[in-house]
Amino acid sequence: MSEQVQEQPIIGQVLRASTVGFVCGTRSQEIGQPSFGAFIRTRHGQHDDIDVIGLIHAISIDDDPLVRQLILANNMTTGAARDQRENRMVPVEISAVNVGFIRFREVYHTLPPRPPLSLDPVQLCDQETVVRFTERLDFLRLVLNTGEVPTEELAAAALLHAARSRPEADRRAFLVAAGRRLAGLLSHDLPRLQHLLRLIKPAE
Amino acid sequence: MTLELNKVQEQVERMGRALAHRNLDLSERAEIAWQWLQALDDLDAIRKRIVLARERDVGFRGAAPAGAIPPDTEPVINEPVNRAYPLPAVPERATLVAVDGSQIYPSLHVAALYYLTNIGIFVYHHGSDDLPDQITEPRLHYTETMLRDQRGQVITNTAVNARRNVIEMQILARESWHRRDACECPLVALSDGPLLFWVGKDVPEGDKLSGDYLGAVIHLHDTHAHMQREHERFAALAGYVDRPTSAFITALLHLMSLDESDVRRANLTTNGALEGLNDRGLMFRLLKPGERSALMVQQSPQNKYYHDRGANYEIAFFYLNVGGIDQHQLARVEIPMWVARDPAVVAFVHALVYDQCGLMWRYPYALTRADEIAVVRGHERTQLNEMIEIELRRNVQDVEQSEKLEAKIVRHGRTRYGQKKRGF
Repeated sequence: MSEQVQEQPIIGQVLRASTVGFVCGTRSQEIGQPSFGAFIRTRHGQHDDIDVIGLIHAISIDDDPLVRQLILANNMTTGAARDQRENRMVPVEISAVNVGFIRFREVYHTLPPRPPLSLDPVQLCDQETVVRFTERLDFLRLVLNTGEVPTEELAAAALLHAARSRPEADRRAFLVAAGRRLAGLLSHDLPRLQHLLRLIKPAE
Repeated sequence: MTLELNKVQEQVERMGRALAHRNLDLSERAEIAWQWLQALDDLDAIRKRIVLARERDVGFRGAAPAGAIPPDTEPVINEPVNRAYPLPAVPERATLVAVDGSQIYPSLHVAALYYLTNIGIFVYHHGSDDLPDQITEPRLHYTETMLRDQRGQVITNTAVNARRNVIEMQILARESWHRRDACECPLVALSDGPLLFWVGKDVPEGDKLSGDYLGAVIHLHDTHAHMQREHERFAALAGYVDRPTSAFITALLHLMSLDESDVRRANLTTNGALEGLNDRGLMFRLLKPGERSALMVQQSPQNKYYHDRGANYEIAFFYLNVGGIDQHQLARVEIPMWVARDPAVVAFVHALVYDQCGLMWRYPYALTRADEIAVVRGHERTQLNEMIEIELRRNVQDVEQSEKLEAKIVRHGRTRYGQKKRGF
């Protein structure tokens, strides 16, 4: 069987998806936890065998005419602000690129065989899953080849998330290994490699 | 083939010239109206003229100063009609219960005949950081008695609107009543649109609807009486009319301009020299932002019906300039006489409504939110129709799609779910 998905709180539900990535919707007051570069997972139903693993590359709040009017009027009250954030269905979208999947506890660093479906729950990956998923770093190739997202920043943020999921004593070694892997992947593009290495450089 | 703009070019040019001419003419009439309003400072003379118009049954539909008109008792409201009344201090605390509604009209082009009303209640705790409450109440109407009139015809959209108005007022009254003891401050029940309820002859059971509507207004008055008795607080009711085009004061100016002998029905079918004007221009000259007009009462059979059911239920109104600094935006605020009679409550409603309009773009925030939660959007209507289709099939009913509707969907290129696809 695959992982239990009830451990982490649900941060949203799938709005639209493909094998390349997915977008989940959430309410505005529920965006405290997800952050850029975080690992998230979703599964279609309790009995499915595939956990799709994605990296958050964008969190966006749609344009809203009512909020625009409130800002223009410049007379906001606490009650109205709470109403906007807690009552209204302010559409917040969290976009993720797929970087692999877990099937029967086996990690695959490739695109999932099928996308999640609308309304599937989306959760942040727990530390153990992140560690296990990043024991190998083959997913970096997928990230670096993704279009329309800031790939260097996304890869760096994901690696830093993965490092923080490890014991403090292991973090430096993990980042050094990640740097070596990136050097192999970007040997043809030194400016890009340098930028990425600066982003993940461990503290001395 | 769609609209060929080259064929309407000449007509548009003629229209532009005609509107310019009309506006020049209207500005001259507006100046006359302003001069007449300036001179209209004798409340007794106005009241005498209203009495004369009533005695002669001339069909006057304009405004009268609020307060009793003889032979009723001595008026308790004496506000000169040519004055502006300043914005009072904004109340510290209030519970504002706002209502609005929307509907899906009956259609012969979907799988089953039905209509739906969806009422939104939004409770705003003015002066408090409390989270506002929001409630929606959808009701599906599908029985033959609800869908057809006495002749077996499908009811009109007007009939659906009338029924929705009644449900709105009933739910507003119910939600206000529920808060009569928990509410630690005055309560203002606010509805979108006029408080005077009127139904045309094409609305089945119009008399019953009128009675039900007035029953809800009386229920709100019961809330007020209870709160006064038990907690020494009040409950007010107000109807908010945005950008009114009414000409009640203009009609009064015309009535007052006539010689006594000319106060006849034939002379009141139009507003004479002021015909074509409404009250907006007058009020924009009279009222600075935040100011209101005098309390007035529209003369109409509907209002008489309310008055005859009890002096508390006659509907008064004032105009309010809800604009910000150097802005003009007019609203008409309608209140029942139990509210109008108490200057402190009028001041409370006046200041609270203006404050609500300042929260956003010159329209009460609470009503905006009540509208937002009530409105039924196109894709929701589609989903409801799909739910109904599924339920019909589950109950082994024939489901027949309208070819006209299907053709429209194809022609307009709409997707099944009305959604635009983005990303992934």
